Amino acid sequence: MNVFFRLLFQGVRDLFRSPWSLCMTLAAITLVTFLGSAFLMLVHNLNLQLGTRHGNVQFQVYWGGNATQAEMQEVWGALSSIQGVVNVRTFTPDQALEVLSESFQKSVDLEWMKGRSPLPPTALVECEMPEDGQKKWAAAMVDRLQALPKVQKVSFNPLQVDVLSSWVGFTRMAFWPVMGFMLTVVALVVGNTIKLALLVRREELEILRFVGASRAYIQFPLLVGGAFQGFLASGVALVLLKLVHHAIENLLNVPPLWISIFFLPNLYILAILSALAGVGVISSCVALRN
Amino acid sequence: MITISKLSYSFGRQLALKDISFSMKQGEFVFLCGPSGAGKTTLMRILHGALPVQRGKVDVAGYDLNTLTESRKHLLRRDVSVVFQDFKILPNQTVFANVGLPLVVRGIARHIIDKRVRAVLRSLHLDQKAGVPCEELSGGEQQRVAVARAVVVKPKLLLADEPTGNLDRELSLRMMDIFQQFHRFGTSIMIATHNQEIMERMAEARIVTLEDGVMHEGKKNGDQQ
Repeated sequence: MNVFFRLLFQGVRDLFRSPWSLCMTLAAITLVTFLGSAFLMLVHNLNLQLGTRHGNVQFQVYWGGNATQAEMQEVWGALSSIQGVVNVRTFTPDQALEVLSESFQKSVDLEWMKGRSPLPPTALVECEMPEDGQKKWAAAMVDRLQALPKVQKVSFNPLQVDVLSSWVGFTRMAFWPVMGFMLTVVALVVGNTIKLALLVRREELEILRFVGASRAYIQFPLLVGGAFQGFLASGVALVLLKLVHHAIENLLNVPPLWISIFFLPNLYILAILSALAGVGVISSCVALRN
Repeated sequence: MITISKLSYSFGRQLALKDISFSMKQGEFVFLCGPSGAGKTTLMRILHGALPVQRGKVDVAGYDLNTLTESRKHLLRRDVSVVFQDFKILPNQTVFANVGLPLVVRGIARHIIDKRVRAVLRSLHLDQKAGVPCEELSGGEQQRVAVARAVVVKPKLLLADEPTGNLDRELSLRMMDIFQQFHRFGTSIMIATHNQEIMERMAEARIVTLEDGVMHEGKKNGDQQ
């Protein structure tokens, strides 16, 4: 056990024999890991945003100005019982005016119109889209909403769902190639560093072999070195990403987006650290074998 | 201790060893002599597992070198120590660290390493230099460090390739005394040399000669330093 810890420590200490080589390697791995993790964070946030909207489509229903409050209340009460409706938000003319005023961020004063709002009563009906026959279903839903008493207009934007679905498909498609690229670059960089270390220390390693050091005794510190480089560089990259995240966390948290950017979950962080350390070990193994 | 049967070795088309058969008993002291380029170093390197057995059969200290895999060669090297012609010591490490290295890689406790290294350094008159980096030593002192490192593990077999090549006459003779001392404690020793004087001083030693890759028992006439 004593030898194990000594070799573990030696693996890390040996890296500092060539500090410049170590710095360059760490910089390269950090940069690649930072870019890869940033992409992962983008995918994660996209998935979070799309997860709340994906599969749902919103229909905006406008009523004519002649509809009375009592009539509206009755119709709005019945909206949520329609099959496929998951959420209904209703707006009286005054409420619609208030939302409009908020979207102007008080730069335009609409207070004077209160009580005589020109906006029609509206409802935002959010429906769960079926997996098949979406276009027919949407047309049928429009017809159904249009048939409600005193409805003037129904609008929805199926293109929005198509775009969001395409984004999800794209990020899922790009995920593995990007991760694969990142891990390959890390493997090449670490492998190259270990090869250089082997070249620099060739004579020393030869002496170790000749005095009876086992293969494990010689190779273990080099594998530790590879793992350490991957782990340390990915740690630095994640710290940098956290700093960047701190700066941009609320960048999109403004009307009308209201999107908070979240950092990577702990599971992803653990996965990145262990994957990079693992790649460091594997590339060291390959370098030693060659 | 060593059994060689019809061993041949070539570097490309150049045949370095030709159909050698040789055996050495436990506790024997053998001088391997012959001119430069005769194949002495090649034979030493094969016996130590640094070169593969191309043809023939070689058995050293109970290890069949024909079947010994790379991952198990360290076991052979724990029983067979080598003193190299070019010392092969770590120049930036101290004398103590160099001599203790074979014990460290065997995972021996620090206090035992300390005791054994100091004893060996004393016997080779290097105890005053224990803390000195090897790069600051003279050629003769570095040679003694290499010998100390080889004997500190009490090997079954000690192979020495021209161990007196860098030493003056007096130091060469003192070095041979040291080898004799370890031989008396039961270590089998094979020394590759073409130093006539040290061979003559050890009348009880067996002499084999390598010339153009061919081995002869005994010394050839006119084999001079």
